[in-house]
Amino acid sequence: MIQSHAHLYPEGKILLIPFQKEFWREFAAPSGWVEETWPPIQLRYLGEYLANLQCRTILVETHYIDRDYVYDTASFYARNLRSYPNYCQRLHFFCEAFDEARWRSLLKDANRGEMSRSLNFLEKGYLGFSVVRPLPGSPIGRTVLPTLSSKADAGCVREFHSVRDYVVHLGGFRLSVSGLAFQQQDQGVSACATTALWSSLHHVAYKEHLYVPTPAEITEAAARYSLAGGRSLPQEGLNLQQICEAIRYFGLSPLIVEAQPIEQGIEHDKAQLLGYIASGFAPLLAIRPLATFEGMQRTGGHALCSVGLKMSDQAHQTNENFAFRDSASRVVGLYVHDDRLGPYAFAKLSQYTVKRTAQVRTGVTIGWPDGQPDEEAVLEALVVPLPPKVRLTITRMRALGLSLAQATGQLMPNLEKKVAVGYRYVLAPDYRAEALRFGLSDEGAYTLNCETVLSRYLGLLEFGGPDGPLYDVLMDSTETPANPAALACVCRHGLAAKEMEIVDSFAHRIHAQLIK
Amino acid sequence: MKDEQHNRSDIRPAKNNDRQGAPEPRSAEENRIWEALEQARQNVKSVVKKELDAEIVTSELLNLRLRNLPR
Repeated sequence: MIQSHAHLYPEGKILLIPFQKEFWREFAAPSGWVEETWPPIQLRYLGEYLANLQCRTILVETHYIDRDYVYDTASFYARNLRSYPNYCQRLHFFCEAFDEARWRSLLKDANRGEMSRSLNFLEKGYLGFSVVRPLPGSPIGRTVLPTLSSKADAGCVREFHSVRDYVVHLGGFRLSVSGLAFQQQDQGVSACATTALWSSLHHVAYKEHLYVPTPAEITEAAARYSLAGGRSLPQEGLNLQQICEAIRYFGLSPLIVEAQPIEQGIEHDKAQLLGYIASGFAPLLAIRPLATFEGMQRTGGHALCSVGLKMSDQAHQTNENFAFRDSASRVVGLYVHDDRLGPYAFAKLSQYTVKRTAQVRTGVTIGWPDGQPDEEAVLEALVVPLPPKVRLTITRMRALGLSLAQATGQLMPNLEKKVAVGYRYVLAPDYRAEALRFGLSDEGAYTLNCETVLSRYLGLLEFGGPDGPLYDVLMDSTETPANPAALACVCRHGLAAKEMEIVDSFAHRIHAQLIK
Repeated sequence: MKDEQHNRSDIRPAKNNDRQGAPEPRSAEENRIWEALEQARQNVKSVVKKELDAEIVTSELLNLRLRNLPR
Protein backbone atom coordinates (compact mmCIF):
# COMPACT_ATOMS: atom_id res chain seq x y z
CA MET A 1 0.00 0.00 0.00
CA ILE A 2 1.30 3.46 -0.91
CA GLN A 3 1.89 5.61 2.13
CA SER A 4 -0.04 8.88 2.04
CA HIS A 5 2.05 12.04 2.32
CA ALA A 6 -1.00 14.14 3.05
CA HIS A 7 -0.74 15.73 6.45
CA LEU A 8 -3.50 15.67 9.01
CA TYR A 9 -4.59 18.79 10.83
CA PRO A 10 -1.89 19.61 13.35
CA GLU A 11 -2.59 19.55 17.05
CA GLY A 12 -2.29 22.64 19.18
CA LYS A 13 -1.09 22.80 22.77
CA ILE A 14 -0.36 25.42 25.37
CA LEU A 15 2.88 25.00 27.28
CA LEU A 16 4.19 27.07 30.19
CA ILE A 17 7.92 27.62 30.69
CA PRO A 18 9.63 29.64 33.42
CA PHE A 19 11.65 32.45 31.79
CA GLN A 20 15.43 32.37 32.04
CA LYS A 21 17.77 35.13 30.91
CA GLU A 22 19.57 32.62 28.72
CA PHE A 23 16.45 32.56 26.61
CA TRP A 24 18.31 31.04 23.67
CA ARG A 25 18.57 27.74 25.55
CA GLU A 26 14.86 27.17 24.77
CA PHE A 27 15.80 26.84 21.08
CA ALA A 28 17.39 23.77 19.59
CA ALA A 29 20.55 24.43 17.59
CA PRO A 30 20.11 23.52 13.92
CA SER A 31 21.44 20.11 13.06
CA GLY A 32 24.24 20.17 10.54
CA TRP A 33 26.62 22.92 9.47
CA VAL A 34 25.38 26.51 9.84
CA GLU A 35 27.10 29.51 8.30
CA GLU A 36 26.13 31.87 11.13
CA THR A 37 27.09 31.44 14.76
CA TRP A 38 24.69 29.76 17.18
CA PRO A 39 22.86 31.02 19.16
CA PRO A 40 21.90 33.99 16.95
CA ILE A 41 22.64 37.38 18.50
CA GLN A 42 18.93 38.26 18.29
CA LEU A 43 18.05 35.41 20.69
CA ARG A 44 20.63 36.54 23.21
CA TYR A 45 19.47 40.17 22.89
CA LEU A 46 15.81 39.18 23.39
CA GLY A 47 16.78 37.29 26.54
CA GLU A 48 18.44 40.43 27.95
CA TYR A 49 15.60 42.70 26.91
CA LEU A 50 12.95 40.42 28.41
CA ALA A 51 14.97 40.17 31.62
CA ASN A 52 14.92 44.01 31.78
CA LEU A 53 11.13 43.86 31.44
CA GLN A 54 11.06 41.48 34.46
CA CYS A 55 9.72 38.59 32.39
CA ARG A 56 8.89 35.54 34.56
CA THR A 57 6.85 33.18 32.37
CA ILE A 58 6.65 32.13 28.73
CA LEU A 59 3.37 30.71 27.44
CA VAL A 60 3.83 28.77 24.20
CA GLU A 61 1.09 28.31 21.60
CA THR A 62 2.47 25.39 19.62
CA HIS A 63 0.38 26.08 16.52
CA TYR A 64 0.02 29.61 15.20
CA ILE A 65 -0.61 30.81 11.66
CA ASP A 66 1.37 33.98 11.15
CA ARG A 67 0.34 36.17 8.22
CA ASP A 68 3.89 37.29 7.44
CA TYR A 69 5.37 33.82 7.58
CA VAL A 70 2.59 32.28 5.46
CA TYR A 71 3.40 34.78 2.70
CA ASP A 72 7.11 34.03 3.08
CA THR A 73 6.32 30.34 2.71
CA ALA A 74 4.14 30.90 -0.36
CA SER A 75 6.78 33.09 -2.02
CA PHE A 76 9.85 31.13 -1.16
CA TYR A 77 9.92 28.26 1.30
CA ALA A 78 7.20 26.17 -0.39
CA ARG A 79 9.70 25.50 -3.20
CA ASN A 80 12.47 24.23 -0.94
CA LEU A 81 13.46 20.58 -0.92
CA ARG A 82 12.90 20.48 2.81
CA SER A 83 9.21 20.51 3.69
CA TYR A 84 8.74 23.56 5.90
CA PRO A 85 5.41 23.71 7.73
CA ASN A 86 3.24 26.75 7.01
CA TYR A 87 2.63 27.40 10.70
CA CYS A 88 4.69 28.78 13.54
CA GLN A 89 4.67 28.76 17.32
CA ARG A 90 3.93 31.88 19.31
CA LEU A 91 5.52 32.78 22.62
CA HIS A 92 3.69 35.07 25.03
CA PHE A 93 5.71 36.76 27.75
CA PHE A 94 4.36 37.56 31.22
CA CYS A 95 5.89 39.32 34.19
CA GLU A 96 3.79 37.11 36.52
CA ALA A 97 4.99 33.64 37.48
CA PHE A 98 2.38 30.95 36.78
CA ASP A 99 2.23 27.35 35.65
CA GLU A 100 -0.02 25.17 33.56
CA ALA A 101 -2.35 24.44 36.50
CA ARG A 102 -2.88 28.19 36.99
CA TRP A 103 -3.48 28.69 33.25
CA ARG A 104 -6.12 25.93 33.32
CA SER A 105 -7.78 27.54 36.33
CA LEU A 106 -7.86 30.92 34.57
CA LEU A 107 -9.71 29.35 31.67
CA LYS A 108 -11.96 27.42 34.04
CA ASP A 109 -12.86 30.62 35.91
CA ALA A 110 -13.63 32.40 32.64
CA ASN A 111 -15.82 29.48 31.63
CA ARG A 112 -17.74 29.84 34.90
CA GLY A 113 -18.55 33.53 34.54
CA GLU A 114 -15.37 34.99 36.02
CA MET A 115 -13.92 36.26 32.76
CA SER A 116 -12.97 39.68 34.14
CA ARG A 117 -10.96 38.17 37.01
CA SER A 118 -8.96 35.93 34.68
CA LEU A 119 -8.53 38.73 32.17
CA ASN A 120 -7.31 41.14 34.83
CA PHE A 121 -4.60 38.71 35.87
CA LEU A 122 -3.44 38.16 32.29
CA GLU A 123 -3.63 41.83 31.28
CA LYS A 124 -1.66 42.91 34.32
CA GLY A 125 1.16 40.53 33.59
CA TYR A 126 1.18 40.58 29.78
CA LEU A 127 4.35 41.88 28.15
CA GLY A 128 4.08 40.89 24.50
CA PHE A 129 4.68 38.10 22.05
CA SER A 130 7.17 36.62 19.62
CA VAL A 131 6.38 34.35 16.69
CA VAL A 132 8.84 31.48 16.32
CA ARG A 133 9.23 30.43 12.70
CA PRO A 134 10.13 26.85 11.77
CA LEU A 135 13.34 28.16 10.18
CA PRO A 136 16.24 26.60 12.06
CA GLY A 137 18.75 29.42 11.58
CA SER A 138 16.44 32.45 11.86
CA PRO A 139 13.57 31.57 14.19
CA ILE A 140 12.52 35.04 15.39
CA GLY A 141 9.46 36.17 13.45
CA ARG A 142 7.04 38.99 14.21
CA THR A 143 7.80 40.14 17.73
CA VAL A 144 6.01 42.90 19.58
CA LEU A 145 7.33 43.94 22.98
CA PRO A 146 6.71 47.07 25.01
CA THR A 147 9.24 49.88 25.06
CA LEU A 148 11.32 50.70 28.11
CA SER A 149 9.90 53.36 30.45
CA SER A 150 10.10 57.05 29.55
CA LYS A 151 12.57 57.81 32.33
CA ALA A 152 16.16 57.28 31.23
CA ASP A 153 19.43 58.02 32.97
CA ALA A 154 20.92 61.43 33.92
CA GLY A 155 18.08 63.83 33.19
CA CYS A 156 17.17 62.19 29.90
CA VAL A 157 13.84 60.88 28.72
CA ARG A 158 12.87 58.21 26.22
CA GLU A 159 10.23 59.17 23.67
CA PHE A 160 8.68 56.51 21.45
CA HIS A 161 6.67 58.03 18.63
CA SER A 162 6.23 55.05 16.30
CA VAL A 163 4.43 52.57 18.50
CA ARG A 164 0.87 51.33 18.14
CA ASP A 165 -1.46 48.87 19.82
CA TYR A 166 -1.46 45.23 18.69
CA VAL A 167 -4.43 43.10 19.70
CA VAL A 168 -3.61 39.53 20.74
CA HIS A 169 -6.13 36.67 20.99
CA LEU A 170 -5.00 33.98 23.36
CA GLY A 171 -7.35 31.12 24.18
CA GLY A 172 -10.48 33.30 24.19
CA PHE A 173 -8.79 36.18 26.03
CA ARG A 174 -8.25 39.48 24.25
CA LEU A 175 -4.99 41.12 25.28
CA SER A 176 -3.02 43.97 23.81
CA VAL A 177 0.51 45.27 23.66
CA SER A 178 1.81 48.65 22.61
CA GLY A 179 5.03 48.55 20.58
CA LEU A 180 6.37 48.21 17.06
CA ALA A 181 6.82 44.88 15.29
CA PHE A 182 10.35 43.56 14.97
CA GLN A 183 11.70 40.44 13.28
CA GLN A 184 14.98 38.79 12.46
CA GLN A 185 15.89 38.81 8.79
CA ASP A 186 15.61 35.30 7.33
CA GLN A 187 17.91 35.98 4.33
CA GLY A 188 15.38 34.10 2.20
CA VAL A 189 12.74 36.73 1.48
CA SER A 190 14.19 39.53 3.57
CA ALA A 191 17.48 41.20 4.42
CA CYS A 192 18.01 44.20 6.67
CA ALA A 193 16.42 46.78 4.36
CA THR A 194 13.26 44.71 3.91
CA THR A 195 12.78 44.11 7.61
CA ALA A 196 13.52 47.74 8.51
CA LEU A 197 10.94 48.92 5.97
CA TRP A 198 8.48 46.29 7.18
CA SER A 199 8.77 47.63 10.74
CA SER A 200 8.40 51.21 9.54
CA LEU A 201 5.30 50.44 7.48
CA HIS A 202 3.80 48.64 10.48
CA HIS A 203 3.42 52.10 11.92
CA VAL A 204 3.13 54.54 9.01
CA ALA A 205 0.88 52.47 6.70
CA TYR A 206 -1.29 51.43 9.65
CA LYS A 207 -1.63 55.06 10.78
CA GLU A 208 -2.62 56.08 7.24
CA HIS A 209 -5.16 53.21 6.99
CA LEU A 210 -3.13 51.63 4.19
CA TYR A 211 -2.34 47.97 3.63
CA VAL A 212 0.51 46.73 5.84
CA PRO A 213 2.65 44.50 3.61
CA THR A 214 4.52 41.34 4.53
CA PRO A 215 8.31 41.06 4.02
CA ALA A 216 7.79 38.93 0.90
CA GLU A 217 5.50 41.57 -0.61
CA ILE A 218 8.02 44.33 0.18
CA THR A 219 10.80 42.40 -1.56
CA GLU A 220 8.57 41.76 -4.59
CA ALA A 221 7.58 45.43 -4.80
CA ALA A 222 11.19 46.58 -4.42
CA ALA A 223 12.45 44.30 -7.18
CA ARG A 224 9.72 44.96 -9.75
CA TYR A 225 11.83 47.23 -11.96
CA SER A 226 15.33 47.13 -10.57
CA LEU A 227 17.49 44.29 -9.33
CA ALA A 228 20.52 45.66 -7.52
CA GLY A 229 22.32 42.38 -7.10
CA GLY A 230 20.87 40.24 -9.89
CA ARG A 231 18.28 38.08 -8.19
CA SER A 232 15.62 39.18 -5.74
CA LEU A 233 15.31 35.85 -3.90
CA PRO A 234 17.11 34.81 -1.82
CA GLN A 235 17.21 38.38 -0.66
CA GLU A 236 20.68 39.91 -0.60
CA GLY A 237 19.88 43.53 0.16
CA LEU A 238 18.13 46.49 -1.41
CA ASN A 239 19.50 49.79 -2.61
CA LEU A 240 17.83 53.11 -1.76
CA GLN A 241 16.17 53.27 -5.18
CA GLN A 242 14.49 49.91 -4.55
CA ILE A 243 13.42 50.96 -1.07
CA CYS A 244 11.78 54.04 -2.60
CA GLU A 245 10.05 51.87 -5.21
CA ALA A 246 8.58 49.65 -2.49
CA ILE A 247 7.43 52.66 -0.44
CA ARG A 248 5.66 54.12 -3.50
CA TYR A 249 4.06 50.76 -4.30
CA PHE A 250 2.38 50.69 -0.91
CA GLY A 251 0.86 54.16 -1.31
CA LEU A 252 3.40 56.33 0.48
CA SER A 253 5.88 58.85 -0.78
CA PRO A 254 9.61 58.31 -0.06
CA LEU A 255 11.75 61.24 0.97
CA ILE A 256 15.51 60.77 1.06
CA VAL A 257 17.64 63.11 3.14
CA GLU A 258 21.39 62.70 2.81
CA ALA A 259 23.43 63.05 6.00
CA GLN A 260 25.44 66.27 6.23
CA PRO A 261 28.78 67.07 7.88
CA ILE A 262 28.63 68.90 11.23
CA GLU A 263 29.98 72.42 10.77
CA GLN A 264 30.09 75.31 13.25
CA GLY A 265 28.22 73.20 15.76
CA ILE A 266 25.16 72.80 13.52
CA GLU A 267 23.98 69.22 13.61
CA HIS A 268 21.74 69.03 10.56
CA ASP A 269 21.24 65.29 10.86
CA LYS A 270 19.93 65.54 14.41
CA ALA A 271 17.39 68.13 13.25
CA GLN A 272 16.12 65.85 10.49
CA LEU A 273 16.02 62.84 12.83
CA LEU A 274 14.14 64.82 15.47
CA GLY A 275 11.59 66.19 13.02
CA TYR A 276 10.69 62.93 11.33
CA ILE A 277 10.95 60.59 14.33
CA ALA A 278 8.97 62.93 16.62
CA SER A 279 6.25 62.97 13.94
CA GLY A 280 5.95 59.16 14.03
CA PHE A 281 7.13 58.56 10.46
CA ALA A 282 9.64 55.89 11.58
CA PRO A 283 12.38 56.80 9.07
CA LEU A 284 14.77 54.15 7.83
CA LEU A 285 18.37 54.94 8.60
CA ALA A 286 21.09 53.98 6.14
CA ILE A 287 24.34 53.56 8.08
CA ARG A 288 27.79 52.33 7.22
CA PRO A 289 29.99 50.57 9.77
CA LEU A 290 33.21 52.40 10.48
CA ALA A 291 35.18 49.55 9.01
CA THR A 292 33.76 50.24 5.54
CA PHE A 293 33.21 53.99 5.92
CA GLU A 294 36.83 55.02 5.62
CA GLY A 295 37.04 53.51 2.11
CA MET A 296 36.64 55.74 -0.95
CA GLN A 297 33.58 54.00 -2.39
CA ARG A 298 30.15 53.58 -0.86
CA THR A 299 30.47 49.84 -0.83
CA GLY A 300 27.47 48.88 1.22
CA GLY A 301 25.54 49.72 4.33
CA HIS A 302 23.02 48.53 6.81
CA ALA A 303 19.40 49.59 7.41
CA LEU A 304 17.69 50.35 10.72
CA CYS A 305 14.17 51.41 11.57
CA SER A 306 14.01 54.32 14.01
CA VAL A 307 11.31 54.09 16.66
CA GLY A 308 12.14 56.69 19.29
CA LEU A 309 14.44 59.33 20.70
CA LYS A 310 16.51 59.77 23.81
CA MET A 311 16.31 63.44 24.74
CA SER A 312 18.12 65.53 27.33
CA ASP A 313 15.90 67.85 29.36
CA GLN A 314 17.20 71.15 27.92
CA ALA A 315 18.22 72.43 24.53
CA HIS A 316 21.55 74.27 24.39
CA GLN A 317 23.03 76.86 22.12
CA THR A 318 25.12 75.24 19.40
CA ASN A 319 26.30 78.37 17.57
CA GLU A 320 27.21 81.63 19.31
CA ASN A 321 25.87 83.70 16.39
CA PHE A 322 22.36 82.48 17.04
CA ALA A 323 19.96 83.97 19.57
CA PHE A 324 18.01 80.74 19.94
CA ARG A 325 18.41 77.09 20.83
CA ASP A 326 17.61 74.33 18.38
CA SER A 327 15.57 71.47 19.91
CA ALA A 328 17.79 69.12 17.92
CA SER A 329 20.51 69.81 20.50
CA ARG A 330 18.39 67.82 22.98
CA VAL A 331 18.77 64.62 20.92
CA VAL A 332 21.23 62.29 22.65
CA GLY A 333 20.43 59.12 20.76
CA LEU A 334 17.82 57.02 19.04
CA TYR A 335 15.95 53.80 19.70
CA VAL A 336 16.09 51.57 16.66
CA HIS A 337 14.99 48.16 15.47
CA ASP A 338 18.21 46.56 14.29
CA ASP A 339 17.39 43.19 12.79
CA ARG A 340 20.95 42.02 13.44
CA LEU A 341 20.55 42.78 17.13
CA GLY A 342 17.03 43.34 18.46
CA PRO A 343 14.12 45.71 19.08
CA TYR A 344 14.49 49.20 20.64
CA ALA A 345 18.27 49.03 20.64
CA PHE A 346 19.85 52.26 21.85
CA ALA A 347 21.88 54.06 19.18
CA LYS A 348 24.03 56.77 20.72
CA LEU A 349 24.75 59.74 18.45
CA SER A 350 28.18 61.30 18.51
CA GLN A 351 30.57 63.26 16.32
CA TYR A 352 32.93 61.18 14.21
CA THR A 353 35.89 62.73 12.36
CA VAL A 354 36.52 60.99 9.05
CA LYS A 355 40.23 60.26 8.79
CA ARG A 356 40.62 60.77 5.04
CA THR A 357 38.60 64.03 4.78
CA ALA A 358 38.68 65.44 8.35
CA GLN A 359 34.92 66.01 7.98
CA VAL A 360 32.88 65.65 11.15
CA ARG A 361 29.96 63.29 10.60
CA THR A 362 27.14 61.87 12.73
CA GLY A 363 28.42 58.72 14.41
CA VAL A 364 26.01 56.00 15.53
CA THR A 365 26.96 53.50 18.24
CA ILE A 366 24.38 50.75 18.67
CA GLY A 367 24.34 49.05 22.04
CA TRP A 368 22.94 46.15 24.01
CA PRO A 369 20.25 46.64 26.68
CA ASP A 370 22.98 46.71 29.38
CA GLY A 371 24.76 49.53 27.55
CA GLN A 372 27.56 47.45 26.08
CA PRO A 373 28.37 48.85 22.59
CA ASP A 374 27.80 46.46 19.72
CA GLU A 375 28.84 48.32 16.59
CA GLU A 376 29.99 51.78 15.50
CA ALA A 377 28.78 53.29 12.26
CA VAL A 378 28.27 56.58 10.42
CA LEU A 379 24.88 57.88 9.30
CA GLU A 380 24.55 58.07 5.51
CA ALA A 381 20.91 58.96 4.90
CA LEU A 382 17.32 58.87 6.10
CA VAL A 383 14.51 57.41 4.00
CA VAL A 384 11.15 58.64 5.24
CA PRO A 385 7.90 57.03 4.09
CA LEU A 386 5.64 60.09 4.04
CA PRO A 387 1.94 60.30 3.31
CA PRO A 388 1.78 61.58 -0.31
CA LYS A 389 0.11 64.87 0.54
CA VAL A 390 2.88 65.84 2.95
CA ARG A 391 5.01 67.93 0.57
CA LEU A 392 6.44 70.37 3.08
CA THR A 393 9.68 68.93 4.41
CA ILE A 394 11.29 69.42 7.80
CA THR A 395 14.00 71.47 6.08
CA ARG A 396 11.46 73.90 4.69
CA MET A 397 9.72 74.11 8.05
CA ARG A 398 13.09 74.89 9.59
CA ALA A 399 13.76 77.62 7.02
CA LEU A 400 10.88 79.61 8.50
CA GLY A 401 11.33 78.26 12.04
CA LEU A 402 15.00 79.21 12.39
CA SER A 403 14.35 82.73 11.01
CA LEU A 404 11.49 83.27 13.45
CA ALA A 405 13.50 81.81 16.34
CA GLN A 406 16.46 84.09 15.58
CA ALA A 407 14.21 87.16 15.33
CA THR A 408 12.34 86.14 18.50
CA GLY A 409 15.60 85.79 20.42
CA GLN A 410 16.76 89.21 19.26
CA LEU A 411 13.46 91.04 19.75
CA MET A 412 12.74 89.49 23.15
CA PRO A 413 16.04 90.05 25.01
CA ASN A 414 14.44 89.17 28.35
CA LEU A 415 14.46 85.53 27.18
CA GLU A 416 18.29 85.64 27.27
CA LYS A 417 18.68 83.68 24.04
CA LYS A 418 16.83 80.77 25.59
CA VAL A 419 14.19 80.58 22.88
CA ALA A 420 13.96 76.96 21.75
CA VAL A 421 12.48 75.98 18.40
CA GLY A 422 10.93 72.58 17.69
CA TYR A 423 9.43 71.25 14.47
CA ARG A 424 7.28 68.26 13.67
CA TYR A 425 4.14 67.18 11.89
CA VAL A 426 0.89 66.75 13.73
CA LEU A 427 -2.59 65.73 12.63
CA ALA A 428 -4.87 68.76 12.57
CA PRO A 429 -7.61 67.15 14.71
CA ASP A 430 -5.01 66.24 17.33
CA TYR A 431 -3.66 69.79 17.40
CA ARG A 432 -7.15 71.28 17.65
CA ALA A 433 -7.99 69.00 20.57
CA GLU A 434 -4.71 69.81 22.29
CA ALA A 435 -5.20 73.56 21.72
CA LEU A 436 -8.35 73.49 23.84
CA ARG A 437 -6.00 73.08 26.80
CA PHE A 438 -3.77 76.06 25.83
CA GLY A 439 -5.86 78.63 27.71
CA LEU A 440 -6.80 80.52 24.53
CA SER A 441 -9.56 83.12 24.68
CA ASP A 442 -13.03 81.80 23.80
CA GLU A 443 -12.85 83.66 20.52
CA GLY A 444 -9.37 82.28 19.76
CA ALA A 445 -10.44 78.71 20.52
CA TYR A 446 -13.51 79.14 18.31
CA THR A 447 -11.49 80.65 15.45
CA LEU A 448 -8.94 77.82 15.55
CA ASN A 449 -11.47 75.02 15.88
CA CYS A 450 -14.29 76.25 13.63
CA GLU A 451 -13.09 78.98 11.29
CA THR A 452 -9.51 78.08 10.34
CA VAL A 453 -9.13 75.61 7.50
CA LEU A 454 -6.16 73.31 8.17
CA SER A 455 -4.40 70.62 6.13
CA ARG A 456 -4.75 67.06 7.49
CA TYR A 457 -1.12 67.06 8.55
CA LEU A 458 0.16 70.35 9.90
CA GLY A 459 3.75 71.42 9.89
CA LEU A 460 4.09 72.58 13.48
CA LEU A 461 6.77 75.03 14.62
CA GLU A 462 6.90 75.33 18.41
CA PHE A 463 8.68 78.22 20.11
CA GLY A 464 9.33 78.01 23.82
CA GLY A 465 11.06 80.13 26.44
CA PRO A 466 12.32 79.51 29.99
CA ASP A 467 8.76 79.90 31.35
CA GLY A 468 7.01 77.62 28.88
CA PRO A 469 5.62 77.69 25.34
CA LEU A 470 5.59 81.11 23.60
CA TYR A 471 3.78 80.53 20.34
CA ASP A 472 3.17 77.94 17.61
CA VAL A 473 3.17 78.44 13.86
CA LEU A 474 0.91 76.14 11.87
CA MET A 475 2.00 75.39 8.31
CA ASP A 476 0.12 73.84 5.41
CA SER A 477 1.98 70.58 4.78
CA THR A 478 0.47 70.19 1.28
CA GLU A 479 2.16 73.30 -0.07
CA THR A 480 5.03 73.42 -2.57
CA PRO A 481 8.28 75.39 -2.07
CA ALA A 482 7.16 78.17 -4.41
CA ASN A 483 4.24 79.22 -2.22
CA PRO A 484 3.98 80.53 1.35
CA ALA A 485 2.57 77.92 3.68
CA ALA A 486 2.00 79.59 7.08
CA LEU A 487 -1.62 79.33 8.20
CA ALA A 488 -1.75 80.59 11.76
CA CYS A 489 0.27 81.81 14.74
CA VAL A 490 -1.18 80.48 17.97
CA CYS A 491 -0.16 82.34 21.16
CA ARG A 492 0.73 80.24 24.19
CA HIS A 493 0.77 80.99 27.90
CA GLY A 494 4.49 81.83 28.14
CA LEU A 495 4.02 84.93 25.98
CA ALA A 496 3.76 88.30 27.77
CA ALA A 497 1.33 90.94 26.45
CA LYS A 498 4.09 93.09 24.96
CA GLU A 499 5.63 90.08 23.24
CA MET A 500 2.27 89.27 21.72
CA GLU A 501 2.59 92.43 19.61
CA ILE A 502 5.82 91.06 18.14
CA VAL A 503 4.15 87.77 17.30
CA ASP A 504 1.25 89.70 15.78
CA SER A 505 3.75 91.44 13.51
CA PHE A 506 5.37 88.11 12.59
CA ALA A 507 1.92 86.75 11.74
CA HIS A 508 1.19 89.75 9.55
CA ARG A 509 4.52 89.38 7.74
CA ILE A 510 4.07 85.66 6.99
CA HIS A 511 0.35 86.03 6.11
CA ALA A 512 -0.77 83.89 9.00
CA GLN A 513 -3.81 84.39 11.16
CA LEU A 514 -3.08 85.41 14.76
CA ILE A 515 -4.96 83.29 17.28
CA LYS A 516 -4.73 84.27 20.94
CA MET B 1 -20.97 77.19 -10.88
CA LYS B 2 -20.05 76.46 -7.29
CA ASP B 3 -16.36 76.12 -8.11
CA GLU B 4 -16.29 79.53 -9.77
CA GLN B 5 -17.85 81.08 -6.71
CA HIS B 6 -15.36 79.31 -4.49
CA ASN B 7 -12.48 81.01 -6.29
CA ARG B 8 -13.89 84.52 -6.10
CA SER B 9 -11.96 86.59 -3.59
CA ASP B 10 -14.97 88.76 -2.69
CA ILE B 11 -16.78 85.83 -1.09
CA ARG B 12 -13.90 84.76 1.15
CA PRO B 13 -14.52 85.13 4.89
CA ALA B 14 -14.01 88.71 6.03
CA LYS B 15 -11.31 87.69 8.52
CA ASN B 16 -9.03 86.52 5.73
CA ASN B 17 -9.30 89.69 3.63
CA ASP B 18 -6.34 91.33 5.33
CA ARG B 19 -4.19 88.34 4.35
CA GLN B 20 -4.46 89.01 0.60
CA GLY B 21 -1.62 90.55 -1.43
CA ALA B 22 1.87 91.71 -0.41
CA PRO B 23 1.81 92.87 3.19
CA GLU B 24 2.68 96.40 4.24
CA PRO B 25 3.87 97.23 7.76
CA ARG B 26 1.11 98.80 9.83
CA SER B 27 3.44 100.95 11.92
CA ALA B 28 7.06 102.00 12.32
CA GLU B 29 7.44 99.46 15.11
CA GLU B 30 6.16 96.71 12.86
CA ASN B 31 8.59 97.81 10.17
CA ARG B 32 11.43 97.42 12.69
CA ILE B 33 10.24 93.92 13.58
CA TRP B 34 10.06 92.94 9.93
CA GLU B 35 13.57 94.21 9.34
CA ALA B 36 14.76 92.12 12.27
CA LEU B 37 12.98 89.10 10.77
CA GLU B 38 14.62 89.69 7.40
CA GLN B 39 18.01 89.99 9.09
CA ALA B 40 17.32 86.74 10.95
CA ARG B 41 16.54 85.07 7.63
CA GLN B 42 19.96 86.12 6.34
CA ASN B 43 21.61 84.88 9.57
CA VAL B 44 20.30 81.34 9.16
CA LYS B 45 20.50 81.21 5.36
CA SER B 46 23.64 79.07 5.19
CA VAL B 47 22.15 76.48 7.57
CA VAL B 48 18.99 76.24 5.48
CA LYS B 49 20.94 76.02 2.22
CA LYS B 50 22.97 73.11 3.54
CA GLU B 51 19.81 71.26 4.51
CA LEU B 52 18.07 71.97 1.20
CA ASP B 53 21.12 70.54 -0.57
CA ALA B 54 20.72 67.37 1.51
CA GLU B 55 17.34 66.74 -0.14
CA ILE B 56 18.94 66.62 -3.59
CA VAL B 57 19.84 62.99 -3.89
CA THR B 58 22.87 61.80 -5.84
CA SER B 59 22.77 58.64 -7.93
CA GLU B 60 25.66 57.31 -5.85
CA LEU B 61 23.47 57.49 -2.76
CA LEU B 62 20.49 55.98 -4.57
CA ASN B 63 22.65 53.01 -5.50
CA LEU B 64 23.93 52.47 -1.97
CA ARG B 65 23.05 48.90 -1.23
CA LEU B 66 21.88 48.00 2.26
CA ARG B 67 22.58 44.41 3.07
CA ASN B 68 24.09 42.19 5.69
CA LEU B 69 27.63 43.13 6.38
CA PRO B 70 30.02 40.88 8.25
CA ARG B 71 30.43 41.93 11.88
